[in-house]
Amino acid sequence: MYEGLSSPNIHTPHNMAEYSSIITHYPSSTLWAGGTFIMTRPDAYPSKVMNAEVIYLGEIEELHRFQRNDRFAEFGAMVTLDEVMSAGKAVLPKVLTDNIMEIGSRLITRRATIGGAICTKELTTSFPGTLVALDANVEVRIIKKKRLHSRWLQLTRLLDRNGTIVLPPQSMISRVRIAFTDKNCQFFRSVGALMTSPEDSMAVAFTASLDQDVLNNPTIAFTYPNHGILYSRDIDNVFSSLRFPLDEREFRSLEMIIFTFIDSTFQELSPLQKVRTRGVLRALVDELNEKTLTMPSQM
Amino acid sequence: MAERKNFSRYNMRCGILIRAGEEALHVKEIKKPETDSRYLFLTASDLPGSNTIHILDRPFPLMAAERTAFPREIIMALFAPDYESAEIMRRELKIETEKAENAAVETAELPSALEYGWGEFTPQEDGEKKYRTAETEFRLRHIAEPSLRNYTVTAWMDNANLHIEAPCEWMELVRSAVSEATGYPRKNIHVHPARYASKHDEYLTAPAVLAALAATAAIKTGLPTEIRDAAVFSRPGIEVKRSTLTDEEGKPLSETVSMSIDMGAYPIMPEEYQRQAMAGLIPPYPLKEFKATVSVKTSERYPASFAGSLGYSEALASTEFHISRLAEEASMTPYQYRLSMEKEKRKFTDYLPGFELEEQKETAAKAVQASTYERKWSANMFQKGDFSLLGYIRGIGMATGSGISGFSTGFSKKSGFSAVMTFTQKGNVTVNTSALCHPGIMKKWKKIISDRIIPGHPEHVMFLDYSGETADTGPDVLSRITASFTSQLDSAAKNLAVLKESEALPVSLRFDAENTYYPCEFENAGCGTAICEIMISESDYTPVVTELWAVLTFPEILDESTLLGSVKRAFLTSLSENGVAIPLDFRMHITINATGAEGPVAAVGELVRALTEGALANALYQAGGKEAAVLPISARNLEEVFGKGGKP
Amino acid sequence: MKIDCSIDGRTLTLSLNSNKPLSLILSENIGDGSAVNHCNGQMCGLCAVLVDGKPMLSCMVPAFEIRGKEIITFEGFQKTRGMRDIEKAYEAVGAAPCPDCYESKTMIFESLISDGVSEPDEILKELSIIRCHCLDPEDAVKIVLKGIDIRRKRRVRRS
Repeated sequence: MYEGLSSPNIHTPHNMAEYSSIITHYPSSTLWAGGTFIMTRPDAYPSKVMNAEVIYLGEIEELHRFQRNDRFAEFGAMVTLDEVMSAGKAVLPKVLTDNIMEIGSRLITRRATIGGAICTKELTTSFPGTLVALDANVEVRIIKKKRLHSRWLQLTRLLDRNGTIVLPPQSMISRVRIAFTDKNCQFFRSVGALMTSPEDSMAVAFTASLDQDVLNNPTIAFTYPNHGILYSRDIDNVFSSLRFPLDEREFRSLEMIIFTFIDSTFQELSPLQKVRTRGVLRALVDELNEKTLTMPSQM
Repeated sequence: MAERKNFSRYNMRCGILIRAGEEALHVKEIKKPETDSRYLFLTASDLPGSNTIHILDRPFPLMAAERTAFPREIIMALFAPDYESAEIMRRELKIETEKAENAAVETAELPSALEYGWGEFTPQEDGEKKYRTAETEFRLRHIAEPSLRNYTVTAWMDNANLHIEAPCEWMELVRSAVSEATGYPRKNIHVHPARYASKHDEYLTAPAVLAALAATAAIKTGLPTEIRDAAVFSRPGIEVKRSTLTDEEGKPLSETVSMSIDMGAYPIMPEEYQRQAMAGLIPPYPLKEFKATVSVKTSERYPASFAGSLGYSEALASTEFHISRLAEEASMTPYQYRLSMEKEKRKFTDYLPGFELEEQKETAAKAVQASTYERKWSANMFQKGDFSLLGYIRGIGMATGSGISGFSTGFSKKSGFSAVMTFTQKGNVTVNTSALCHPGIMKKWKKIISDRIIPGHPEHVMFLDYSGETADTGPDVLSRITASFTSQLDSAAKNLAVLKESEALPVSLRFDAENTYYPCEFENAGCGTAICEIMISESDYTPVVTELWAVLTFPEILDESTLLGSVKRAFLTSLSENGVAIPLDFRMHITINATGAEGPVAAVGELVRALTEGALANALYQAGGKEAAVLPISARNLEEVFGKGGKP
Repeated sequence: MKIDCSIDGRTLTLSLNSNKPLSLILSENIGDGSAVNHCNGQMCGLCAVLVDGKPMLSCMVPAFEIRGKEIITFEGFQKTRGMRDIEKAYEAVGAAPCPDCYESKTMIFESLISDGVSEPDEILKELSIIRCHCLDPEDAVKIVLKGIDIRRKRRVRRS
């Protein structure tokens, strides 16, 4: 072991009180959940940061809890994506289960945690976008005057103008609450390898209720892993104003409006990301068109 | 094996390589941090011997001197007590560079263009438009990609001997590289082969370079030294332009082909590449006139190495691509076109003998039937390049051809690769060869040899450890070791069985490592047809291969299940190396037939690679046109093709 | 930091950097010639090991997480009866992973066989973590099904 390379101090709190005291002592600590993201960054080891302090959250029992009632499911931040699937595959919204399934091998989902998937640095995973589309709430634990405070917030409130999730300093997401939805249109599509080629990848999560030929309460989130999440109530409103099925001209006009939003938020999307956005949008509209035309009574 | 490395990791040096980026650079200054004696920095000027090694008489630099000649060229090797320390030290290094504007580093002289052809055809001008010209361009992009797996090369001293342990396809090259770089006598350099899986021949030259650097560090520090690195798979860029004059019915009359090969900064075996490529360029249909030129050029790209083939596969794929375009010109499906144009026998040329095409045609018929190729081909033609109907487009392509095995006769005569088999006084058989890397195949060899000389006693057949006296059997490429060398061992054992009865013991036999010398440069070995179907979805532009059908025929099959396994693996490797995604529900339908006839053992990899590249290029052409058929393909390439105006 | 763990049945106390990936620990600190790869974030999937019986990519497991854990690498696993089952399955199906990914795929096959996973999609999804396309997907499914069968028969014979 290189003497110039200091081994990070690993703090392993067993409860939130211990966590609170550690984070107060070491305010610039790195929070470590499943480690799937941190460990797979190129040149992750040896760490570039000297004298790093790491708080490993895996031993905090509270963060592993999962509860559900007839209205919502609530997951601790350290619940793994695999546990989410086994806990509520049948009852959880399809868009969420589709997202987890899309990630692929259980070798990843068994380690990746909900909290970790939301709070990745530098790169955005497809997961927070899906939670935005589901209008999920998160509990933020924040240190103020050496005391740990708790606040429930809509995840969308944590999105800054650039589409990245920003937490106040010395804070963490401890729980995620996902309401069971009766929205009958749920769509998730992720294209490209989000982790290994983020510059070419994107994901879309969409939820709405289709009633006759209009969408009620639509929510759509576009994720560009190297840029962030695009979510806007204005786009949701555009979807609300549409009457399905859309013809080619209407689709083109929807596409144009959406790209106006995308271009104003993320100026440097790659051509492939744009093309893929267009393609996924078309797949979404095709699906909505089909639903409108084939199963109106069941909508 | 001689004594293997047996030392504590706590008392060795670990090396990492500092490489250039993608641009050509002038290295102005390297500012090294202050270090103690546990660290060692090696640059081109620190080598006791030469910075240039030779691969079959052609120069190859170990490290960039002042200017980099290709991307990712090694600028420096850094050795430290462990990898963490090396990595931390790398971050403290400051290498001042500037973008190089002047011309590339000069490389050794290139061979002149290889030309071959026959006949002459003068179109008769009788006023009516009787002839048509079909022109195609087949392109393969240059590939240089680091493999995902790291490998290590270790060097250590043992009295006057220098030991190297490396995964290497050509042990003699490792020894000569170490000798050139360190000035150490060749006889004192011992190479210990490590196990490897070289899908793209990435362990042909790179381990020799690493061994030279590790050996230098071992000599300088007096400690065992290891370098860890990722091997690079590199394939040359290829451009084949072909023009065929056909009659009104599409029957080819005369053809001119020019193939240009971009071998990167330092070409390896360019003459042999030309010969192999020429063998693949000659079409199976009869022609009154044929003219082909194969030229090699250099560029500031990563030096191309063997990549499972040495040009034959790529050239054959280009021929198959051209045949499909001729068929389109003649308004026929490629299969119908072949049936109507190809004769029963191929023309005898300097590169391939005039063998019967019946078996090859049979494989095509079976594959076409299994895949319902004709129907799919016609259906796809309606939707070519148009996503609007279904949101995706499909393409189906076929390729058929025969395989070749090993090096050309012209090369074999010069190479002198050999092995020695001895029957000792104790009744044992010893084999002196450098082909020691495949424990599985060595077990089979022992059985083959013992069956000929000492039946029932394979344990008395011994392969000698690698030493200074080991015979150079040549590189383990083009399936030479598993295919050609097996039959050479068999025939040598047959001869030795006779000799041991008449000569005084011990009796030795030096034999050639090549298969045999043919009247043509190559002998055909095995044949087959592959058909693959691809799909491109409008929502992600990723080219996905959905299904593959292949029918292959080989003269003799030693172990059908092993052969089927390696055929499947070769198809999958070739598909993924050419950029197509292999989905979870991908299906392969492979049939292998044996004719039972005696003949050279086929190099499965080369044939499969040719069929895959040919079929894939044809399928992509059908889906997206000319630009989509440039391999390897990617979503980005397809975005460029479709993205601009929708249709290609 | 000092870390106690069990690797291939050997109880060890290792002095390590606390965030060193298990893949590097196995290839640099534990013996020699480990087949575990470390691809530096390329997601090669060639470093699967069993941690407390569950397959994991060792590049994602930091040193501080292996405290008190039982790790089985391919080197340890290949001496077990479980390996014989998988070898028999390879032979019966006539397909095996290439030498590049043999160790990693074998470890994942072991986890699938011991969990009795028979759903083709699930099998292929689990294997998709390895970016080496050397095995026909159909053969991969057959190997798992055959392996489950072989193991069941062995257990029935034993009882």
